[in-house]
Amino acid sequence: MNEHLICPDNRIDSFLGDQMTDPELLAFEKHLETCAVCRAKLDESSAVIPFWDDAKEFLSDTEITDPQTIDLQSADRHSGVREPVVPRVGQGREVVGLLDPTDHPDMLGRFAGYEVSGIIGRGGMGIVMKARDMSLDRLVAIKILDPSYSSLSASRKRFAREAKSAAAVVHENVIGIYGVDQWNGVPYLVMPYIKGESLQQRIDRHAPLPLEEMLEIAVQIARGLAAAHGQGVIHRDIKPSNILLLNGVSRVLITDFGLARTVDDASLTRSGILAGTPQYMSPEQAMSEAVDRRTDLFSLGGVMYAMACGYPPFRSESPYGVLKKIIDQPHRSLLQQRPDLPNWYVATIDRLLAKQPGQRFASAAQTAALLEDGLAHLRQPASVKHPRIELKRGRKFVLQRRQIAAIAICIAILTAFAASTFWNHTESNTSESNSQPTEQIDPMSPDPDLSWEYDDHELIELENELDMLLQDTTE
Amino acid sequence: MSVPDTRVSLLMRLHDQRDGEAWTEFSRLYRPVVCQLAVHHGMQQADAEDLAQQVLIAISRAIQTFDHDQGQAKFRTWLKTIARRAIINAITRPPKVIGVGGSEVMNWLNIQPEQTEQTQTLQWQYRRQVFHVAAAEVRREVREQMWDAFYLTAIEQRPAKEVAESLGCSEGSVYTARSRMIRKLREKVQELDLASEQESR
Repeated sequence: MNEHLICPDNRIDSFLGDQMTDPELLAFEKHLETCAVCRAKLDESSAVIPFWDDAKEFLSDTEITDPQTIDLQSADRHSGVREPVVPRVGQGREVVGLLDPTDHPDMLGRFAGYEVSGIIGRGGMGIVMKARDMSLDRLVAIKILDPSYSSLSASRKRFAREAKSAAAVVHENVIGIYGVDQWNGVPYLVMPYIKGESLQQRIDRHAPLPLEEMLEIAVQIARGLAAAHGQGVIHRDIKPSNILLLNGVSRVLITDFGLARTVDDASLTRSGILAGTPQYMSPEQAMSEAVDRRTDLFSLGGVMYAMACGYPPFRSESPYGVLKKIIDQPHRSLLQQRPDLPNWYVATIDRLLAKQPGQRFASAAQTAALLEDGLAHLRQPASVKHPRIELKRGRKFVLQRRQIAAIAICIAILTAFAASTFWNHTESNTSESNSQPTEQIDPMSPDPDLSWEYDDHELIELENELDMLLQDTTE
Repeated sequence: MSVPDTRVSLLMRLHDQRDGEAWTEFSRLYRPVVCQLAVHHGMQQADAEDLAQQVLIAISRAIQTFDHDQGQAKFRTWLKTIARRAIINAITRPPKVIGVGGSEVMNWLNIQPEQTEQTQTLQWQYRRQVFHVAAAEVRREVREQMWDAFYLTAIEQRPAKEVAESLGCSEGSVYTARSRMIRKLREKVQELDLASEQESR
């Protein structure tokens, strides 16, 4: 690097002061092409380095505040279109350049023989267009690799390869793929155009969702994943916005199979900037380690968590903060947010969100079966037992966890003791008992048999609390 | 380094209360900052808009109380402090419906947000929103190609040569466009937020 050299050229000030004639400007631009010193100096004189860094950090995420696009988004949401259009600042115009002219006045252009009527969304990997298949007279969604990525042959190959394997997955809970091809060097795939609500939209509007609805959705996601895993396809980007709900929850469709992450990987390696928020990523993905099908199980756990409380299990103000939490912090127990949920449901999520893939369930099929049992139990609690979920513990934490467990048990016993004396006290002397309602005693369960379950739940909560405390202090 | 005033600043014009246009412009810039921040914190769109309205009303009331003799530079700093504080207070401790009484509003505006993790996160998010609003403003005012040259090289960190090819311009003009855009962005951000002024000194 020749940053320490001094360039005799002294035109930067006159450029910044806007004092150049056109020929002078052209000559200056020519000079910049060859002089790294002046380029660096120009950058620094235009804005201090922290400002450039801030711009990079703040403007590279996908959230947008342009009031015009906000209106667009909310309009889309109300009309129930599949995905709101969220263009990234500075992008989104290249698409039209890809299209051939069309004779139809209502259409945007022609792409590979389809009449494109509009752009319905864009994600990390590409752009989704709404189009009409003229020969079959049906509406389709065409997904193309973002033109800014399709110049990279590695991502192009991956896109094509993964699109083909995704097309091989045929299951009622996985979106169908009509075809995969290339057009003018741009790989694309054709899917049915579906008007439905995404799970993200459902969560935004209605979270926390009722238990039965969560189970119905989770079972179908797990079944779709099982089918895909059976074909050797890993999704890698299971998140609420990739789950479509048709006719309420009677049918759930997983979209974006095996595609979404491919380009994010490319963008990550090239610029070091993460596209979008990695909130549902597994720890192994976050550490860029090799992933297998169990990465999808972790993300499914995240989705189940988000359905239960409205937000993902790991949150932070920056994508890197999220990654850090995913890698080395336990998620906050759901019981704190949803004490009404049965322990087995919470334990299922805890298993799915285990940091080590080996501590999660063995397969999506096993997860689906468990969730089916849960659903059956919920519908017929008298005749079907709830699933038993055994929590596997990481070896790394065994010692610490034993200590925590010991402390927790002590505290639990003390609490139980205190609670029981309090209980007796209140029974014998009701007039004094209007103190703090810190002990949220469920009015539905005065049954003494159930009080054990109450204690158990307290213990889990405590253990979790201690766990987090420990994490905080060891950091 | 002091901040060069290349044009009559919007905030200075706000100082003159008869300048209704300046107020319209100011609220057009600030409203999305508050709205987005509130939505980000789990508010419904409609509630966020209400909150933005309340914050703007509070700020407009506060402007009337500013001692005009203190000078314009002070006014700029003061107003930005008030705006930032109002937004952070609005999220952390929403005002009761702001009535006609001015003193209550001023008290609320004068509460210094505590330096907790939450307010720090909020300040970070506030600044991010400011950048987004500023970027949207800049984009409105310039040719697309100029913005793209900046965005693709500075934000997406793509090589200038590749960007020049895809935009169909010379590599050198990508560098000059980049410089022009960041300066414009800086100017817009400075109008909205205090922090960048402190940093560029």
